[in-house]
Amino acid sequence: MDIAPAIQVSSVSKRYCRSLKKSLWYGIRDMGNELVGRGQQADHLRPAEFWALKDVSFEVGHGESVGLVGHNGAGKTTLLKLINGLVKPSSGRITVRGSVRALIALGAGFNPVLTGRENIRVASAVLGFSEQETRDRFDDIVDFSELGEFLDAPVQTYSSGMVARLGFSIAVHTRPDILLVDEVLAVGDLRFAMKCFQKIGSFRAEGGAILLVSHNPYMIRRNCDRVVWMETGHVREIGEVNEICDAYEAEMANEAAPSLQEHYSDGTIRVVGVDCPAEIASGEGLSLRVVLESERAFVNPIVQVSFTDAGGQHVVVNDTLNDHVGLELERGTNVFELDYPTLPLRPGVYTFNVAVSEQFMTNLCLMDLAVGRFEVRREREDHGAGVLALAPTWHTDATAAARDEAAR
Amino acid sequence: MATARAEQAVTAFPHEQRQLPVRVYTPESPIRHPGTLVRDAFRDLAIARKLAWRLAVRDISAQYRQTFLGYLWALLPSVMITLVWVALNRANVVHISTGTISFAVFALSGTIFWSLFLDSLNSPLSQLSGNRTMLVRVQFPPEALLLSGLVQVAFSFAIKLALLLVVAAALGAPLQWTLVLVVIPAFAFVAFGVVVGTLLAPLGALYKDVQQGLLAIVMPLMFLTPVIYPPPPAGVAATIMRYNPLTPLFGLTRRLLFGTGVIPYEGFGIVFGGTLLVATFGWLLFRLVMPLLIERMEA
Repeated sequence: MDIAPAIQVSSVSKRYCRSLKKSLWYGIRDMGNELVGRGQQADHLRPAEFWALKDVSFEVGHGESVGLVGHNGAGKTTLLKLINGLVKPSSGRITVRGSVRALIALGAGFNPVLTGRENIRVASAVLGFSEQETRDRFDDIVDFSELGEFLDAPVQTYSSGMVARLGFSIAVHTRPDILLVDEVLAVGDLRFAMKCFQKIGSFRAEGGAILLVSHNPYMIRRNCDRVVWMETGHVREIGEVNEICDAYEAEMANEAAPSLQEHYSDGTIRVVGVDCPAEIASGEGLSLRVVLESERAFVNPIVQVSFTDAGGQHVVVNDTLNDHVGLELERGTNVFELDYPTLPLRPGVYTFNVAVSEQFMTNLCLMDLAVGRFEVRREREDHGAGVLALAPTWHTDATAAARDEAAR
Repeated sequence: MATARAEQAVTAFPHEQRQLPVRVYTPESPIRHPGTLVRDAFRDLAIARKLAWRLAVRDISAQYRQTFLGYLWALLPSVMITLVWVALNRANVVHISTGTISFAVFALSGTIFWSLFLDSLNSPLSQLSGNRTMLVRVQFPPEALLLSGLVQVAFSFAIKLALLLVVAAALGAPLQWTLVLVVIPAFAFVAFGVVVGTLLAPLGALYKDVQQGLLAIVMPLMFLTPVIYPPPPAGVAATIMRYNPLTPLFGLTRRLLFGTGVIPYEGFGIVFGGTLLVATFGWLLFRLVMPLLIERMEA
């Protein structure tokens, strides 16, 4: 059977205004147009306006999970607002088939003076639940939120994590046909985030459609089938999750590289050359050469080399002290070579950093962040999560039995 | 919400066959499909009613939980104004004659119904600004805010009315059995205030001028309305009061409570009928402009 998509966004544009004064005036004019039946159809910008969305088209099928990635200001949140029916498009058409629930405003409608118990009833009502439905779901909400004895305390005494937990619990204990999620899973501790993942996963398994906005490629890879990559209001690319996430991450790393570059030197030593392959396959070895030019001899120097991933995390750190390398740094040119026989990093772009210190790290002489970069290629299809890409040998009951058989 | 045109389509979940609600969002004005506009409005009204009750309970409990004097605050402003005027009248700073009922009862009844009108007038705008964050983030029928405001206005009015009856009885005012009918002019005060307030609210949510303007205008308006004193027999003030739409409302109220004055059939009919007529349009207008307002409110 041919099933119409859950969300259909067709050539949607939305203009917004940068100037508050003008925005208010346009607001009055827009209201006037609406009342005389002219509507908001617009294909041009008025002074001080910009396209928050321009000609955006994509679909989300029932049972499909689509991620929405892009920089701040790419139009992701605006898009969710349009799909949620809060704001009208300036042109184009959005068709939504099925009930929609948005995990956007966790805790919207909460009154800080009232208790968690009272706020559950209010927030449920705002989300459109009847009294009966709220009563039926009440215990589940309370259990999931893990508020315990805080349930009868005013919400203003809650930590921000607790507020978010309560908000998420209320919103997620429902079975809409379509779930819109905006960066909310970042809240709460890791364990609660995992619980939320599970909840969303089961929603997906039941055939619900999901549109998930996140800056975090890991979240997208884990939860989505396809990805829409937004850039300054346009759709830049739509495709299968790993393909788009790889490209998006690579670009993020490229853009981040200049900002990661940081240079400190006490003036007596500097990096004059680095040598490293531009690309390796995951698990392949890597050889690195660093050339330092020194103005003096150093007392008990330590040289440190580290790798940083696209997210800014140091994934590998090595230094001559911990690796028990006796080291002399003389006046003039000093060359260091590091050989990693295997580097099982997961695919992505990495930068490397060089630091030199003296006197057992009490005196930092040189720190050069992102002096070079290399890319780790994707060798096999995988979900690309985690920091390391290892290929362990698995032993299952069947292989164990075969091994026992062979030993006999 | 207002931009949506609801249709029904046969679409299916993978493992269950059922009707999914379909909503279409376009730049078009819903006013081009008046039938759908009205049908959606009534569908949302049913949802809004229940939500409004919850929101009202939330706001009332929160408001009084954070005060020491609690419900007394519903009374104090009216009582204070009345006391000041009674003192002025006693000291002969002003000379107000209110016939068979004592001046204190006359003035208290005036200020209480005046505050009912003011609360109703301010309610739509204060509901919009008080629930800003909710409005820009959650999809819900915005009528719920108007209705919730009504419940809150009615709640504080009930407290004030009880005080008025106690004070009037204690001061020996000639209370009439017709006082049960006072709910009619009370409803008219609320309707008139809320309709004007709703028409101003979209403008007021954008421009703060509206709120400032209301503040500036209510005091002079009170003196041109028979709140503290009966209409003077002649002069400019008398002419303004004659055409003031609130005058027949006060006239009917006092007539029903104390049996004084004549029943202003004509004036009340015009004001009340006109209000109900405008209310229908005001409601639809409010629905139409809400999405446009929400996008500007975030700014």
